[in-house]
Amino acid sequence: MALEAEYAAFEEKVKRTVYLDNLSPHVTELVVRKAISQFGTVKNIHFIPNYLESRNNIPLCALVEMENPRQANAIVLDISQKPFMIGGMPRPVRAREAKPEMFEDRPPKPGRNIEFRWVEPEDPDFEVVNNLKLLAKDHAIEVDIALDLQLKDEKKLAQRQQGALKANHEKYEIINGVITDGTAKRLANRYHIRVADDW
Amino acid sequence: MAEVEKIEDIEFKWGTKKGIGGKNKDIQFYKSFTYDGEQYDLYDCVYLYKEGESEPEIGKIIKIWETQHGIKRVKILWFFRPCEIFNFLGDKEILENELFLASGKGQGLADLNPLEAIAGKCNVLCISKDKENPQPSDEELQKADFVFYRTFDVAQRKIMDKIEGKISELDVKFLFNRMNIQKPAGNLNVDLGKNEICGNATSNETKVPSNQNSFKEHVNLETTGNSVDKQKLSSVEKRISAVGLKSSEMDKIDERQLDVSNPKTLLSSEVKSREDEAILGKVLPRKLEVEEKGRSIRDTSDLDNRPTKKAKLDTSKVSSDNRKSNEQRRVEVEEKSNSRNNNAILEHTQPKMVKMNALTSTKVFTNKSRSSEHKHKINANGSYTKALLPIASLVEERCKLKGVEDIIGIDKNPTKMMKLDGKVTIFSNDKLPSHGDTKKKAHKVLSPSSSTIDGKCKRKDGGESLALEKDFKKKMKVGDKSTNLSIGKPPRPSPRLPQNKVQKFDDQMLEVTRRLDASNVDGNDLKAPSPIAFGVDDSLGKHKGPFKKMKSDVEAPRLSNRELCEESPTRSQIKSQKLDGDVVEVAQRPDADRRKWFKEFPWQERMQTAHEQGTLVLLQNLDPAYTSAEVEDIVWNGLEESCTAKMIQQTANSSPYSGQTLVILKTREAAKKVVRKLDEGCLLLSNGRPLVGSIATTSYSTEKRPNFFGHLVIDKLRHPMLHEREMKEAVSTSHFSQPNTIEYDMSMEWCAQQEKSDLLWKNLYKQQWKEVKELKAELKAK
Repeated sequence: MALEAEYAAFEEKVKRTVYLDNLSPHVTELVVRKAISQFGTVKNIHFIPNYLESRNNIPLCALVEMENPRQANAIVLDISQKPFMIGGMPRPVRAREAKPEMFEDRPPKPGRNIEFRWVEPEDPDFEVVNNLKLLAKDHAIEVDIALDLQLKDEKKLAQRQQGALKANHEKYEIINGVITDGTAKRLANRYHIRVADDW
Repeated sequence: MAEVEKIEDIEFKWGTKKGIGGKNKDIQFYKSFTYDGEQYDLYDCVYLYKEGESEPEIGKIIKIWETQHGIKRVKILWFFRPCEIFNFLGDKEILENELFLASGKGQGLADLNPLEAIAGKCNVLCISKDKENPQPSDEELQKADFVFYRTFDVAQRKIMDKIEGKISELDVKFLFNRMNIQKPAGNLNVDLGKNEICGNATSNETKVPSNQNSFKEHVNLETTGNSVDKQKLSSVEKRISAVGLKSSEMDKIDERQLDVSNPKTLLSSEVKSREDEAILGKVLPRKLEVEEKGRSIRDTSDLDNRPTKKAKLDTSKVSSDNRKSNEQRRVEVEEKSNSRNNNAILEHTQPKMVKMNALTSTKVFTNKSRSSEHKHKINANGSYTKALLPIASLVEERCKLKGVEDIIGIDKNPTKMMKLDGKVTIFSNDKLPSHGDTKKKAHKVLSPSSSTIDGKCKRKDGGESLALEKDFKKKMKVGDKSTNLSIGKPPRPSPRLPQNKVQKFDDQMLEVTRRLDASNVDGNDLKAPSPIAFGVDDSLGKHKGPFKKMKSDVEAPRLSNRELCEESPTRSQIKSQKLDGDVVEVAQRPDADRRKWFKEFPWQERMQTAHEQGTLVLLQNLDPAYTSAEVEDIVWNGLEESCTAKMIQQTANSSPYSGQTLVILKTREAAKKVVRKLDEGCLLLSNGRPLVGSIATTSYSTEKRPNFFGHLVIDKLRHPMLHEREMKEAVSTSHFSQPNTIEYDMSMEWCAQQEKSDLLWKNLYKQQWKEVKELKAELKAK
């Protein structure tokens, strides 16, 4: 029964763990730890490594293990409702409940048997199985494409926001500049417009 | 003035009048009435059964009237149960029998109901510390069914800690306790309510409360059509919900349920006892889920040893139900926590879950309809399994015995799987624990019935190598059972003989799985293997040494199997789960320990080198619930290659039904061979999915600085001196965004974007799942 006990312990760990998404690759473990410590006790942080993707702009994901499931849930709820930023803005992180498959080292589920067989070409199912294989490959490609699409969208959004931000910033800078160097005040005096006292 | 009316034989009598109102002054308001022998006053708390729900709602009467046409109505101000609003509870503490009064404006605050909907009185005390609220005595608290002191604002969707102002245009002082001692809740009706609830349970109704999110799986359970166990489960669930937050009554119901059949009671009473904790306000569904699972484990183990198929089928159904329900609950909780008012997503998953359930259930059924030899293997922990594997019952029992032994030998240590290669000289030692902490439990890997022919030679060589191994110094910890196994190997008429031997290293665990397919090797003589096995055992002795153990298995059984297969390919495919004499093996070189340092190598580096050497293979279309160790087993058994594998961890965007693994093989040739084999042939895994392999291409570059979208910087403000190192050292902050900033707006845009892509993924995977299912349905033999 140790098998099951271990798996049960693992599952319990899963429940206590929060899956964080959309983390900037710059974010370090310390940052995440500090950020999430505001919600509760952080026991462990593990970044999900990204081996497959050749892209280098996939947001980072992390598994944060908390003290108890209640904290984990609270985090998930909170972050879902209010945007929470870690290490940069304005893209908020996303928090979800962790699933066992997200973990790196997990004990196998007890009581599960894996069987397999080689399907021979004479086997009537061969055709179907072959198609399944092709389908799987297709799906993998689809996933790739979807990921690409997503990244493209994100890039667009980021650029748009960056542009808007820049424009706004310049606007404010101008206004600020005008106020600080007294131009605004002088203009106001000229036109006999009352100005705020603190200018 | 009393009017006696007979409404469905339920006695009714108006009490004190309150006034006249309404547009035409034709509505008569009342302060009290007697219904079914019970007197109800204004501001009493009552149970109401809504149509279609078997779970009563609790509300406070805040208006009573009768129209000119004789229609009697009440306006009810609702109480929320914690489970109904747990989404908004967050981290708050909840009392055991606490309710939340509805407040604010909007839907869910109050409803007009026909008076006849009232099912009974409910004793709800207000324990708010407001000065206008008469504090109830301890005695009253004991007698109370529920308490409340907080409200839930339906508009803001928040818990309000104070009751003040007006609720539903009613001064809150009316909502507090009354000055006089509350009349005890009418026993008759309350009992009626209880009886109804329990009656529902015992009568095995399958109606399920639909208004409680945590029990949504019932809806799904129904769709699976598992009537027997559904009832079992649903009645258990019903009990959970019905009993609700009344701890005192739980005992009563417990007793009542004792008459019910044993397993049910087992399920129910245990679940119930957990309920107390579960309902103690934390995340309900999760707790329930844990307990349910606990129950299912126990259930399955209890029922395991029953040799009857039926029982197995039932429990497998139960466990599959549990599994499903757990899965759904889990998904549901996840969904809830993800919701940003995105009901669409919820709707998407619902049908998906339903579909998946339908699938698993159809699997159950189709499997059942298979030949009688097949039994279902009970998966103790439900979560994502799709595999229901048939195994003979006797074998199963023995398996359990073995299983126990196996489990004893398990501890949280890195495990190794050694393989015995046909070429004697090559000892697969690189199968050293690649993942530092991989735990491998003894599990049974069944190899396919039909394998390629070249294995034959290997087998023979295997025999030789066995002999060679004897020369090595090995200390082997052989459990007693294992010897039994080897002795008991020989042709057995029908049951399969699983042989699980677990040996323990000092910090490695070897797992040996071996099965002899005696049933299919009817004529074949298994004597050949036995002596060798014996020999091995003998030579290795039964030292309970803490060091390398070696277990060499004989591939002769496979030989026999293969022969069989060649004879009857058709048979082999039907008996696809034929157990093969697996080799488990693993010869460990004496200097294996020295090689232990390999395991220190981080996976990344090894992967890099493997990639450069061309030995990295990507396997796709696996069940994502597999672990790396299992993958290694599969590769070993199916492709006769030893490897180190690493399951790719799933992220939010990963396919929920298909997993991937990176596998490092020994040589480039091996990698090529594997890929080729997988391409040409079809290695069908137990869940009906063929393995797909390809040479992995990973351009894992550490040089390039990742380019993350979404974190904007204002260029002008960036410190000109800031370079990468400094940036890293700079204190990074984290914060919640305030709604009145530009940042907030932008973050909302990101959220929207995120939601969009989430939907995209979901739909994609749904679509893919559908396609796979359609194709799989064409498989004749699964």
